[in-house]
Amino acid sequence: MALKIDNYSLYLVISEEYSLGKTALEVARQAISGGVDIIQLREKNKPKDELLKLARELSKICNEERVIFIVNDDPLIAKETQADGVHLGQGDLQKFSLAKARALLGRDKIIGVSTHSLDEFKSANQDEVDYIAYGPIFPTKTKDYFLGAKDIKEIMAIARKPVFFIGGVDLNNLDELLSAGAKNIALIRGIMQSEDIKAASRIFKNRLIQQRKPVTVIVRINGKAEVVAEKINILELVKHKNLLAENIVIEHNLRIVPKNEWWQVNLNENDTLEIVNFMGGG
Amino acid sequence: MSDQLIIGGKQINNRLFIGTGKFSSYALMRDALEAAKPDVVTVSLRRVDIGSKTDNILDYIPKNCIVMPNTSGARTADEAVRIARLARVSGSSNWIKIEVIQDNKYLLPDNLETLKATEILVKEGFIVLPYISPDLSMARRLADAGASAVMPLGSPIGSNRGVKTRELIEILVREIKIPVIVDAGLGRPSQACECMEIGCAAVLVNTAIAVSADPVNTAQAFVEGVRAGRRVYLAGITEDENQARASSPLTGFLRDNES
Repeated sequence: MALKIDNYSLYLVISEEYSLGKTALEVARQAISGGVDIIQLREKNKPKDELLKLARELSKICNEERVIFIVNDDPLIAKETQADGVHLGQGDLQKFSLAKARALLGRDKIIGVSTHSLDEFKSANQDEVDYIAYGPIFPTKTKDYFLGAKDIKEIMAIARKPVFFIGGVDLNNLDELLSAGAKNIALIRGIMQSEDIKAASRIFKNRLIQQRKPVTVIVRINGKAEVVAEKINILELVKHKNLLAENIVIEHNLRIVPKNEWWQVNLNENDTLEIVNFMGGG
Repeated sequence: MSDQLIIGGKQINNRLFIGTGKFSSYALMRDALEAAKPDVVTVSLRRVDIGSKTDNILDYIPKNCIVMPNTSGARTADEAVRIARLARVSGSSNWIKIEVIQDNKYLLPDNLETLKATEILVKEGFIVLPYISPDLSMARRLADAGASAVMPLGSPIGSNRGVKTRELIEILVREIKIPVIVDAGLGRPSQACECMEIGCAAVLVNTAIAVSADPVNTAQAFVEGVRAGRRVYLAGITEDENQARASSPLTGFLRDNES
């Protein structure tokens, strides 16, 4: 099943030139164990065969760990290495239109784009993309300008897709981002250059999760609208309602859910549940 | 005497099927079932009443019974199929009594939708017993579709009016190769007996037992009625006559002079 980008995600861009001697695979493994949700491979200077080999290995690791793997710049490499998607910079978009990239990768894959101004963001916000990166927010060695946090509120108000704020983000300036309403961040050196990549990833991820307010959704249970915690699964609901599992059968959006799958099925807004049992009848 | 009824690979010894609706308590229902010892009982599938704790009806049905859920509440074939699938997952059995009803006044079944549901469910491996209005063409189609029996109504559900459809059911009994089981409307053991006398394979009784003042004895009386009817059917019923045929010898009366 295709992975989907949720909010409160931590996005790591891996580039071996910033890794202080660690290999991309080492960085990826440690970052994943620390809670990174998305990994992008960005190697501008590697020969193609090396790049393909590395991308394949990363793709495999990410796939096993249910982490989203994104390839920078090149939809062909993304497709060839079975990545979950591609990230296109403004320059890449000259070579590869969104339509072309989409046609190549298919509907299930993720396409993200970089934007470097409010106008670029607004334009990308109208496109068929799955996420938008916006930055650099703070001063960074890779760029000679920065945008600051001033437009974050407006961006979050109009964003139709998850937005990743990038560029010079660290633990000192993270609060400024989050208090302006940012939900997702992307990092390069903020993680790559920390001594303990796993610990650094975990700290960033925890700070993102703390932003998340408990959310409820409305579902229909046996024809009646009910408010339940978002992402509650069927097993939790059954326990919460004090229902005896052995007596009942549950249908979720018209699909009968076997009891051993109850824990895997999360409830979303407008889902329909039918909970039935046997009664007397002729 | 070998008189076997086999449905869905199961040998049915008791030709009284009992429905479990309308009993005043599960405990009373259990007592009636334990007294009558049916091989097949029916149940329905309903939404759980979430706030209230209710017992599991299956705990009150003797373990050796075949539990046959019905699809009551279904108004279309699709709804019946949906209920059947849910019922099978509930772990009762793969038997299903198809009941598709749109008519709320007489609760008469929709034979066409019933046929559609039968076709689908037989393919999915169910043992299908459709509740129908007694109609020969439809019964034939159902048999062709793989139904394990047909269940024509005697009279409207819960009406206790007996086997008002007798002549049509007699045709089914003569013409259809699968068992004919009269379902619905039987109010007294004599009516159940009548169904068995005309060659039905079994009967299904619910209301008359469940709402009687003494379900335990009523259930047993139905067992006896069914058994008597079956027995005389097998023995062969003598034909009706339009005038009397004296049972006692017509000679040797004391009234006349011997001539």
